[in-house]
Amino acid sequence: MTTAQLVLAASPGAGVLDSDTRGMVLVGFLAFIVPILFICVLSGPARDRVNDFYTAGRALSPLRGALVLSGVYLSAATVLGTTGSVAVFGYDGLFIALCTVLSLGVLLLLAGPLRERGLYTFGDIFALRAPGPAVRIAVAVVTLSVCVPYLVVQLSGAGVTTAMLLGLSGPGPEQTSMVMIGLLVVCATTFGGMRGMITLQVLKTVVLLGMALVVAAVVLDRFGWSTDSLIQAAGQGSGRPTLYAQPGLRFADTGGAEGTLDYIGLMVSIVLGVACLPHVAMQLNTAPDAAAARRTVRHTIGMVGAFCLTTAVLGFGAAALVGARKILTADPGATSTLLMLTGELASGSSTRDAWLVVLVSCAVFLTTLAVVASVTLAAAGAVAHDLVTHVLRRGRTTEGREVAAARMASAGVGLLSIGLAVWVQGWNVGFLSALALAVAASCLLPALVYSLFWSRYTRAGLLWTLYGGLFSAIGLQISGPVFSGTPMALLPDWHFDWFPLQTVVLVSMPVAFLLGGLGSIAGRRRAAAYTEHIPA
Amino acid sequence: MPRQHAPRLHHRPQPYRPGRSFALVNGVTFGVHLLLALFAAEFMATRTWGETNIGMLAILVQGSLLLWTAVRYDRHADVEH
Repeated sequence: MTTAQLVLAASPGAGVLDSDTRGMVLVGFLAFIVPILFICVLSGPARDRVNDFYTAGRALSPLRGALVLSGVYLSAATVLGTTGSVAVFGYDGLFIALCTVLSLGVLLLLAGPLRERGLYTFGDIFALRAPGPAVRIAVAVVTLSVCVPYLVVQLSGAGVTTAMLLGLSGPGPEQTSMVMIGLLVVCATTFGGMRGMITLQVLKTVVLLGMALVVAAVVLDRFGWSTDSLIQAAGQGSGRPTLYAQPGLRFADTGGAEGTLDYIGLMVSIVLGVACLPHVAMQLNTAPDAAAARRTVRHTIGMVGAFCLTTAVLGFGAAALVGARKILTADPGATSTLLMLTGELASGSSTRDAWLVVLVSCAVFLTTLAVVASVTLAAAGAVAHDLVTHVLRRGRTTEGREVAAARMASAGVGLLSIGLAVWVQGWNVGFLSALALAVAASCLLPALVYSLFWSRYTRAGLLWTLYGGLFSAIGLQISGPVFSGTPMALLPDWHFDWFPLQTVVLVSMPVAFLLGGLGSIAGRRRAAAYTEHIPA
Repeated sequence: MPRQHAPRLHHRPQPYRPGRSFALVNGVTFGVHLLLALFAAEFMATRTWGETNIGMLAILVQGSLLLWTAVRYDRHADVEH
């Protein structure tokens, strides 16, 4: 069963929402989403200024910036995945939510230096350390390796959700929905730029936080506002009441040393990976200065922390009211938990119940749209600013030409992602999110730490870090059990799963740090030897 | 006539002083928390009151610690600069 069908099918009693309710959902949805996308396009930059297109003029106040950063940070995978993890794995799900908040601590440490050195892309930051086309190309390759898989996952989810809202199911309608939604987002990004993005993210954060508070209040109301009753019922609903509130359920099937290492690897990749995603880190360039960037992240910690608290209530509510077994039967990834919980809460046929479904559907859909748009913009920046402007045109261009390149790159990246999402429709693409996080944590974090805090880091070290981290992360992920050899893998019938761990960061990140250090030492020796042989 | 609008990026950055105490406090706490979750699951499941246990309290404390140290770090970084 797809996520799309679950909102409709999760309603108890008849099993589906009646036609009046579905009509109300559709009307409410269209009346809500379409104007938002129009506002997004209309709030785009009036002139073709590069600074305006990528950073909205760098004039975002910390509070507004925090609303935007929270929107960028809380992806559909975070919102839906964390709720599902809490519902199914109890304490381990809470720990995942905690790691999501802790990652903002890493971003807080990087915020000042990133804003001081950042122009538009990661390439600008690394070019301060090592100018030249090779570094720009390497950074663009890594950025696209993070962004494109992330986009494919988000677009797949968006297509399925839209098909559900239209009352359709099956590969054809889902693929058509992916194309329609993808084109809408591409238009919003191409014409709206960062200004349109800011409008979209602010609206998304307000709606998402409002939705989470409303649904959490309804859940708590069901249990007489007693958290004890809620947690007890969640334990019963999980089917493992004695283990639910203690660590260890997440990798209980793996067990042994591999389970322990996977647990550490998952938490480390969340803490270190999310902060280094290009669309998250580059959002800091919209702050006026380093102090404002730090304050923005500080406010974001409060907002994301509050959201994660409500996520815990939603997860417990889902375990108590829906049950972990039913959630896992419907979707082994548990990403449909929030939608199933909503269906369970909106069990009556009253207008209030229908509006609850409308609110959750709009929040989930808006979350997906906003994330797709912001990832597309980050990827377009890498293509247009790093590859076209600095590699192909060697920095000699006009503002109008660079903005035109950025718009074309947005369209190109968007269309590529739509094509890939349509192609892999029906596959289990959940591992692509993990891959994006692994590449971010293995390439961008080591390169940023060395670039910002180690004065002896060289161009060779930077290239070794980026390419070494990229190849080790992708290579190990492809060689792991999430790609082949297991029933839940992308290719279950293939067997090249020689690497035993599901999470690769514990190996790929140290490899990238090591290569960066060795590359810098080797680069300095080569430079010294070259200097000695220069004739006087 | 094409012109170069982006500033030339040729100067090397000055070393930046990170918020060492912020990183240390949160990093060490996270490490200890992770180890307890891995190797002291029964201790983390010890009930404090009602259905709330030490593990859940530890998560709340860690989140609050991050928020508190973030405010302190931000203020000190402002003074430093």
